[in-house]
Amino acid sequence: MRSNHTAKLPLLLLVMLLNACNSEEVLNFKQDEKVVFLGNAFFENAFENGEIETRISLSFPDKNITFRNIGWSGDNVFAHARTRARGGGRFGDPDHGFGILAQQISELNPDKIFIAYGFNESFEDEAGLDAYSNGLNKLLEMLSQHCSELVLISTFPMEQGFGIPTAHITNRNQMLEKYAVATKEQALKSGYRYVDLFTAFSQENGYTRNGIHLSADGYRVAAAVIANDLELPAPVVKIDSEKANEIRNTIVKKNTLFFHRWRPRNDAFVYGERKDEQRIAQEEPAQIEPFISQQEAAIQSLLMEL
Amino acid sequence: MIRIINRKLILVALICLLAPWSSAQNATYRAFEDLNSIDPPNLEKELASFSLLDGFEISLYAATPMIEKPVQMNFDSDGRLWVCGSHIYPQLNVNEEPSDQIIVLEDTDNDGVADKSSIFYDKLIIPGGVLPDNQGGAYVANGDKLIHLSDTDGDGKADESEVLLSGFGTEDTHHTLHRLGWGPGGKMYLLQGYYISSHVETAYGPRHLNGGGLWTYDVDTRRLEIFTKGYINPWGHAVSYWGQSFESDGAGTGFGHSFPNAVFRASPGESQSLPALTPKSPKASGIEIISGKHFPPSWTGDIITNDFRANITDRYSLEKEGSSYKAKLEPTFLRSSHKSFRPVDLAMGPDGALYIADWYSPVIQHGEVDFRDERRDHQHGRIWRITAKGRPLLEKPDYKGSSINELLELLKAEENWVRLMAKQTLKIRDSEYVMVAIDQWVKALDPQDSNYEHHCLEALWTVQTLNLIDAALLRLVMKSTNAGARAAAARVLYYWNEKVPGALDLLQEAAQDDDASVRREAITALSQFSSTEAFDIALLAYSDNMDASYSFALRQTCRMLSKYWLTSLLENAISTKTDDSAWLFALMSTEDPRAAQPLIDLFKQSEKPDPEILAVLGRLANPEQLNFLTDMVSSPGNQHTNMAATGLLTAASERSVFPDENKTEALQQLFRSTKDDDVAIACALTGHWKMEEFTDQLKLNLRREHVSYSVNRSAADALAMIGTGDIGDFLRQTIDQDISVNTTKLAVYALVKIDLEQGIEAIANTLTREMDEESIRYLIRQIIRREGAFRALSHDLEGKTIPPQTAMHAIRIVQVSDREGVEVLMAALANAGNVAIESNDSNYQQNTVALLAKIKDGDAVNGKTVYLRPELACVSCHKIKGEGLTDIGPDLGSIGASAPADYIIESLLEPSKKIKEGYKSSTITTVDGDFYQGAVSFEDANKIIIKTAAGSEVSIQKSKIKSRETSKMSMMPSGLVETLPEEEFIDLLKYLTELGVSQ
Repeated sequence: MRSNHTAKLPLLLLVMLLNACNSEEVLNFKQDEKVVFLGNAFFENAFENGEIETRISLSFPDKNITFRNIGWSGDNVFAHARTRARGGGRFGDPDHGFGILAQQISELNPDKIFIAYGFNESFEDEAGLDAYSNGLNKLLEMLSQHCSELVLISTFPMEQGFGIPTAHITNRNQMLEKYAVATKEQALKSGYRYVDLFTAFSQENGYTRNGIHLSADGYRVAAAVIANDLELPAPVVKIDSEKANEIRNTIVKKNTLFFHRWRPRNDAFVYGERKDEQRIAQEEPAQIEPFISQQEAAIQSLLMEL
Repeated sequence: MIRIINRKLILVALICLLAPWSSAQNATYRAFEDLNSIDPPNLEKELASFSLLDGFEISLYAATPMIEKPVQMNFDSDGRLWVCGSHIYPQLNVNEEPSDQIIVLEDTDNDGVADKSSIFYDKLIIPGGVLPDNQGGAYVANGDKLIHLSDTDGDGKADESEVLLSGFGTEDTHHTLHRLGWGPGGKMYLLQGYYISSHVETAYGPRHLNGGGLWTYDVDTRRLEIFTKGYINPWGHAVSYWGQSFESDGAGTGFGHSFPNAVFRASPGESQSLPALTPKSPKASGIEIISGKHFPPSWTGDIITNDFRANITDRYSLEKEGSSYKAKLEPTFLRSSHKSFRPVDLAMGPDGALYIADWYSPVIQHGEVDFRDERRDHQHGRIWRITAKGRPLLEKPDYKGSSINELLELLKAEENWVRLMAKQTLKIRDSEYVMVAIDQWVKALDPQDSNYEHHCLEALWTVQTLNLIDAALLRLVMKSTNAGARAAAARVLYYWNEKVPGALDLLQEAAQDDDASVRREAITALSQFSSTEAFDIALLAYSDNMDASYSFALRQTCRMLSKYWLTSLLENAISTKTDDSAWLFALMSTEDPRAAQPLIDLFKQSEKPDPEILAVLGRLANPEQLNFLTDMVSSPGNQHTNMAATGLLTAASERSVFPDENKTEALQQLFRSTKDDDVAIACALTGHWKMEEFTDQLKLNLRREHVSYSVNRSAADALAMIGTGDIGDFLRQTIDQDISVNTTKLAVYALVKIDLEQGIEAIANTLTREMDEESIRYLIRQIIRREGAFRALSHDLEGKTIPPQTAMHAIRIVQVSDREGVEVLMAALANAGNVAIESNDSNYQQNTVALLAKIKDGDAVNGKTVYLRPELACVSCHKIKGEGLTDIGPDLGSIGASAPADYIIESLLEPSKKIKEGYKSSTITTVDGDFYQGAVSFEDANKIIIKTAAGSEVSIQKSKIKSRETSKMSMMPSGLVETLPEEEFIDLLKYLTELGVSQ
């Protein structure tokens, strides 16, 4: 059932291999590390298929790595989408998003952060490039105070079709490439690893579900590109094996629980402006924690069995 | 010794009188029964509870277990009714799997009763909307996502789920994405409510929407756009015969007329908004427009909406007024005496009947009643069907079996849904054939036919639905003899805009149309062009006599196009004409600092300049430009002195921007004025500008008698702002001299700001005098948010004697403040006043229960007279169905229908326990030490405006805010009903619990 696109994989992988890997050394994981996925809908959507997380886990089955996906649709390097109605504000100022993110990163205390921005910013065109680079730089500086291992992931091109005018896509892709380059420059400048999805996904179509967001197949390819660029060890079982599927399903279950914990329906009552209207509701998201731990334990034991 | 009787103690006493303790347990049970009269669900009883307007009949179409609790419903082209529902609402349980359903209902034998029900999908969390795609699948609003479900193997169950859009906010489950429907031009319309922040990524860029709004989504091109913004609980959208949109609001404004770029109340960051058509109406859920042959012809075009709180379905007639409409409430259509009847959605069905989705629950919303309150119903739902007696039902057209030409003929139908379904079916056909057929069909239409104009418009909408463009057809409809058609064609141009050759010529004509609604649509369409020329054309539509919708549309277009025209103007590429009020309107609309210089030029050039410009300059001008205002103020006898000074004050107080010249001269002139208003502004400016040379003027004006309070107050403010030299000494002397209560209060107010310690000492001294409650409250309010102030005041009270009355009042005020040091201060006050504080641990629940049992014996008529008593002050803050002095508190027009009695009792006794949505107050402390409490009425990046309990609005610069929190304290003072004798309290409760309940 996992689609006809798999046949295209070798071609993509070939392209990846031809792309000289820019990272100076292999990305290593120590025992019990915590990884955070940060970015726009690229990561928010990723929690529903768990491909990237599965791929990394399969390279390090005995390392007990935990993952927290805090991608947020519509977000940018300024973390504008993360602002919330808190502390009396009905809607926070977009500028407060950055502080909220900093706070959250500090609480999560990750060992590695994968960062995927640039899509939303690219609609500011050429004129927005400087702001993007500066914003990304500021973001990296903030993140580096909490975590030394940062991995930047590039934008990828829009795909033709889906009723979107062709000329529009051509235009956007020129811009998306510029933003990918800007991301790469920041990575090089600051000495962080960079994953080039743009080149990989420029080779062929069929990996998005709407022209701009990856399908589950697309995520599998993206995971392969990430693993390749970071020179991760080969997965201990095949990515399309039954074992891997089982792990992936458990990861998705864990991710879903975490989403309800972190961004519950009724956020306004639980964390926000309407907080004092309810008593019971506020307690509930915290009660999800043990279920998250349960799934995490399940993932670990599945990985250990490999 | 005087006893301070705590309000809870009164209740304990009440209970003793009311209920023998021995039967308290039984009373609990009975009272809760009384409380909501929760009858077990019984369809026959509910049916019998309806009273319906003569000439109509109501019957049951479907009920649980055939459906979930219904949220939204939509018919498909096969006549099947798709219903999304939720037993999970208001909140998913911890670790619960999503299981809300989409159900498809069918009436296979056409007897008006659904006889087949199938679950299409059951993995949802509180879906807010469902819209069938007429190809076996459906679009569903599922929290943060819009998804499309398809049934690829035709077994009537969804087997594929595709995410179309994600990133809609999840803050509040009764506001998340909801209500899906098709517009006449083929776009999908979707709603979101107030607490939602959406950040949706699309191929055309991210779309951000804070607060309520109506979205449009183009399924074919995947384009998502904001149609209108605002409303707190937008809860329905319907489109009229001529394509105009109406939105209902479930937060007490009824419904309004919507068009692109329109903004309604409560849209974050928007400085202006449009009123609804029925501003005094109760909350309205769902909206439908009557059409078709089954309902009486006189009903065609009428609006039906639900007052879900009062268990009522209402009808309004519409009449064109200017560029918009006016609405009139007609006799009640349907009402139920059954408290669980909650009409939430409406739809005209394929048989011409009106269908009502009944959420069925005694409890509504989820703020007032706990998420997990057992009185919530999670199981039952109904769909009712209303038919007109003696009028034949309609046959459903066979859309799928019809040829393209037959479908085009259906565009002539009277029924809005038939025409809509015909277009949706044509969309699935081969568009090349459809386009050829449309061309022929339009040519063959008889221009003498009284509906010819509308038929042509439907053809145009069909082309729009196909996502194609037909400029010739557009031109034809733009030149229609019918204004409704011309307006609708201009709306099509809003979407096709620059893709139509000669579009601006068409809009130039439309902008000068005889009909105001056509001009309004032309103005709105022009906002989608990118040129100065489009702006020039929009300005042609300006007149001195514009209605609210019209002028709002023009304002929006001026703002949206300002990146073209204002830029050209500043580059001198175009020039304003003197005395041109249209230009003035455009410049003032922008709220853009770059407009300041052109506004000054316009003022200078004009023979009779509009003084409003000067006020606007206060919001936009830079220091150099403000000199224009100081020049004016310093020249003796200038007729615009007051307006110019107001502008200067706005600049200073809202933006901290000051002129750099002529400040002394300007103040000298202002202080010389005989008008209080001028002097008050002079004082304020002295403070903001820190002009110490005028300190003596301030001292004088603080103590001046026989002038307006604003002069004294302004002087006090200014003294505090300057605060240097001997000002502190002067204030202490003023307080000691006790010239008048007002002067003393103001001197304390200023002293606290300059030197907290001395200010507190002065308060302690002042409390020893005889004083009214309001003054005591005023003094304490000055220090209530200051750190350590309560302890300091306690210390200063040591050894002092204060009047017992003062001690009592002060204790009560302090007690509810919830600040650090409360207990110490209460003790100090009690000691100084020689009074005692009675603490208690009364059983609140039992009090409520006993009161509840008594309500039924209350006298509502007498309750009303109690309510109206000035000393209870209910009327000074609350309105009832729009009637009243201010809207500081919520409208109580249907409080009895919407809130359980225990909630009402609690709100009266402990106002801060549950604060109504939208009436929460914020407390703000500024870096200057000012403290404000009130409801936020406006907020943008730079300022925040709060409405205080006294009803006045205060604007605070964000840069000056030190701390800000949502107050746990209600703006309603506690203890208002404390002094009421038991009987009167019961009568008041009886009156309130019956408000809005159908009799």
